[in-house]
Amino acid sequence: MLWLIIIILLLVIGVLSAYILLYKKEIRNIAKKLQFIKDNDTNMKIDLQIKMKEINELAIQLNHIIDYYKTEKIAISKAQHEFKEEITNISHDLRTPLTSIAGYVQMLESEKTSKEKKAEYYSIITRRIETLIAMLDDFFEFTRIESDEYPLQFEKVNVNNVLTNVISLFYHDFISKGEEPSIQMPSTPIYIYGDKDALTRIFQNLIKNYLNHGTGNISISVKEEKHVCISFKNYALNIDNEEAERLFERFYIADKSRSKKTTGLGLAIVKNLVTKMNGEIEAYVEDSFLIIDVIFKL
Amino acid sequence: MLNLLRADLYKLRRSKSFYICLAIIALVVAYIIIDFKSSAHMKEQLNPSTFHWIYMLFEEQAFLPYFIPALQAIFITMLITGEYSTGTIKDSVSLGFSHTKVYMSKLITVSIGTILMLLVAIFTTGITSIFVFGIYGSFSIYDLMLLIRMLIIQDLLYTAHGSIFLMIAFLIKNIGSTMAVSLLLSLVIVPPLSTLVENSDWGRIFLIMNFSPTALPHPQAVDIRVAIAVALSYLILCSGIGWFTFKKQDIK
Amino acid sequence: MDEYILQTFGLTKQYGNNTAVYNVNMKIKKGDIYGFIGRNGAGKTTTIRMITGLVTPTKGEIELFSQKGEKNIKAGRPRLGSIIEHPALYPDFTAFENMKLRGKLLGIPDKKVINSILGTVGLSDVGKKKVKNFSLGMRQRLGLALALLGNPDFLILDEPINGLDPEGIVEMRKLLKKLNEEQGITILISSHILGELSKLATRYGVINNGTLVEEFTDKELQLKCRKYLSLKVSDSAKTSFVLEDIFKTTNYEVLPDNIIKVYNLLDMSGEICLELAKNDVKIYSIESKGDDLEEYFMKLMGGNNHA
Repeated sequence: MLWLIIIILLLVIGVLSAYILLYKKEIRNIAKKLQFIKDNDTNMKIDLQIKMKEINELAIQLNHIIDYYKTEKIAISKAQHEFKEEITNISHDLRTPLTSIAGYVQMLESEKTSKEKKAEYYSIITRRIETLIAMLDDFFEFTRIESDEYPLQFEKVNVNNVLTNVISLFYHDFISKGEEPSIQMPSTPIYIYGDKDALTRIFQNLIKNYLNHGTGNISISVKEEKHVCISFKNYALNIDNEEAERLFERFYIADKSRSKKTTGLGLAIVKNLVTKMNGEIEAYVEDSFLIIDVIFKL
Repeated sequence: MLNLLRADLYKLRRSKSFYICLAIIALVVAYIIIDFKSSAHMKEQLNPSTFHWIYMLFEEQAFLPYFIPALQAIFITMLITGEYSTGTIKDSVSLGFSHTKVYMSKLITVSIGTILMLLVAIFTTGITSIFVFGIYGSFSIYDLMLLIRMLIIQDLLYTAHGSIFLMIAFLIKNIGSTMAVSLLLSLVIVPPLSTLVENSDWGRIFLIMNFSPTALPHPQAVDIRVAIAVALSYLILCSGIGWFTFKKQDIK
Repeated sequence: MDEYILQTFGLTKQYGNNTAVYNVNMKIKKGDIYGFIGRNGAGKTTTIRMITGLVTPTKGEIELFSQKGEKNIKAGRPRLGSIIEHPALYPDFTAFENMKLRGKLLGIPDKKVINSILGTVGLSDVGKKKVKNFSLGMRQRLGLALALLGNPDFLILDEPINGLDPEGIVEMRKLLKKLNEEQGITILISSHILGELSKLATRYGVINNGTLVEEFTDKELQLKCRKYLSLKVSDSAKTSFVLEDIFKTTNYEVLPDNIIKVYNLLDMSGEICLELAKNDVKIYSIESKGDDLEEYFMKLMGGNNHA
């Protein structure tokens, strides 16, 4: 009987020491992994060799921390990347019109240019300068809205009124584009809770975007069901769903050559403002029609 | 390595063919015991206690030594060739586990699967024989120790046997051919060959000839030593060949 | 920052007398989406198998995560997630069980991660459906989920778009782009169809008959394949005036060093020269640039001599 007890005891000791060894090895393994994660740009997380409750819990918590630290890092590098891109875009957007202005100025200085031509060049230069100013305004506006220094005053706003006002402001532009907007909205006023100026700007930018880039007739409709949905629809042959989703990105211009002399900020501002007013905005293509829906909760 | 083993055991646990094998063993064992019901009046002459019926099943060549290898062939083939046909064998290798570890883990899984088979056989025998013959004869802790000793030796032998199938599976990789070769080997070729050399000492180089002499409460020391030596040689040889082929193998 | 995730040096694989891959020197930088393009049977999968350690190269060396030597490479392999040819799945398991098994293999401590990754690839509502009843597209997505479970730094995807419907392709592309941008995962993606890669890859490797014919970046490709007139002139201001005033175009870009790219007027280079000369602008060079993308790749992939 004695040898039986001895064997059992030996077995117990063996199992226990194996357990302790594994335990130690696991802790070392975790330390090593943590160091690796600290020293390398990696997505790796802590993984385990053995299943022990407390170590498992430790690993889960460590992984949460690693996750957190990584999300921060991603956000920072993304912001840096965007910043660089913005600088490039801005200088790009400014260079081409400025060069063209310089070209016209040279021609003005030349004696060969006739008087009539000169007058024409002056007006072209003025227009270019106006575009540049408008672009710079856009930049400024955008930075202001982005930087949260743009307090919104929430109040009850009549959507119908705001929309009608904005459309009438653009009356001449519609005429010169040769298109008449078709507008459907209910006769009863629709109210949302939001900032009146911001809403005005949202509509302005959406219509400007259509005037600058859109083709065909635009139809604007306001509907009130569960939510208030203001939808802008126009014929757009050369855009697909993938591009439509990118419209709200800063500086995104579907026309890669950026020849339209706009900044691509208008819709980014729209998105920002809509989000600030707790609304949603989406763009999609349906049967070659580009549809932009602005949705507000009641 | 532990993770690899854990994953392999999970696969074993979820393998339908393995459960079918276990069920077949239970049924076969139960059938054999029930078949002895007619000789229930002379149960004491056949075996000194209910408990000793277990040994009989392990000892008699036509019983467990015949069935277990066949069933091993089935579950090992399914386990390994399944990984080749689904391509999952790539996983562990491309995750950086060495070929050696992958093979070792499979071998341990085979061994654990075999122990489970033996345990099922033991329990079914125990329970069925209690039903058929009732509890009779004496039974002590000492007897249990002896049974555990037998179980360990038998598992070593069967694992060695399993390592042959494992090697075949890693060599052939294709489910149909592996199954055919393994079953042919364990059911058709080896049993008659081994009966030819039954009584000579050289017969012991067949693994199958070592099952009976060690499946006794008190086997002879020399039988145990021979059995362990033979089992280890098979295990090392087959695992060596299997491991080497796997290591040199290009995984499709 | 120019850290190479993967470099191969003279990677060669012979099967008997048949050379499947010959002397491949591949370079993949951190953050790349590497489009590995070639016809079926050009040696893509064999190369990928060698990289993932499934096939031993006959000759050549691999450097993975700046580590050489078998042992060091093995240590880096857990940082790599891969789908090779078709995703390796257990047909009798559900999606969750497949993930659980991989989790065991990787030693993932928290099983909650599984559901969130299944959600990422759009498989959160497959429930108890067994993988053998999955469509090819669902398998591909599960394969990607499995590869992502190990929090990889480098994803190797062999023909991942096979079997996906057009919508699935768009989603997969978006997901890969997101993984690349947000988590900085370097991706090697192989395909025999250029269209699948051209919207995604930042660097290309073209393989033909087992040889890596050429490697180039997305930017280099764009330069090669965008049609425009490139002008180098003495006075870019005056040139832009000429373009606007005479040719009535604003579809041009002014680059530093007095280089101007004109995106239309491709067949009017003669007239442009003439007008510029009239306005005392010196032209140092004028060339029409840009190949057709498809044609360019066809040329690299071995011309039209295929069946």
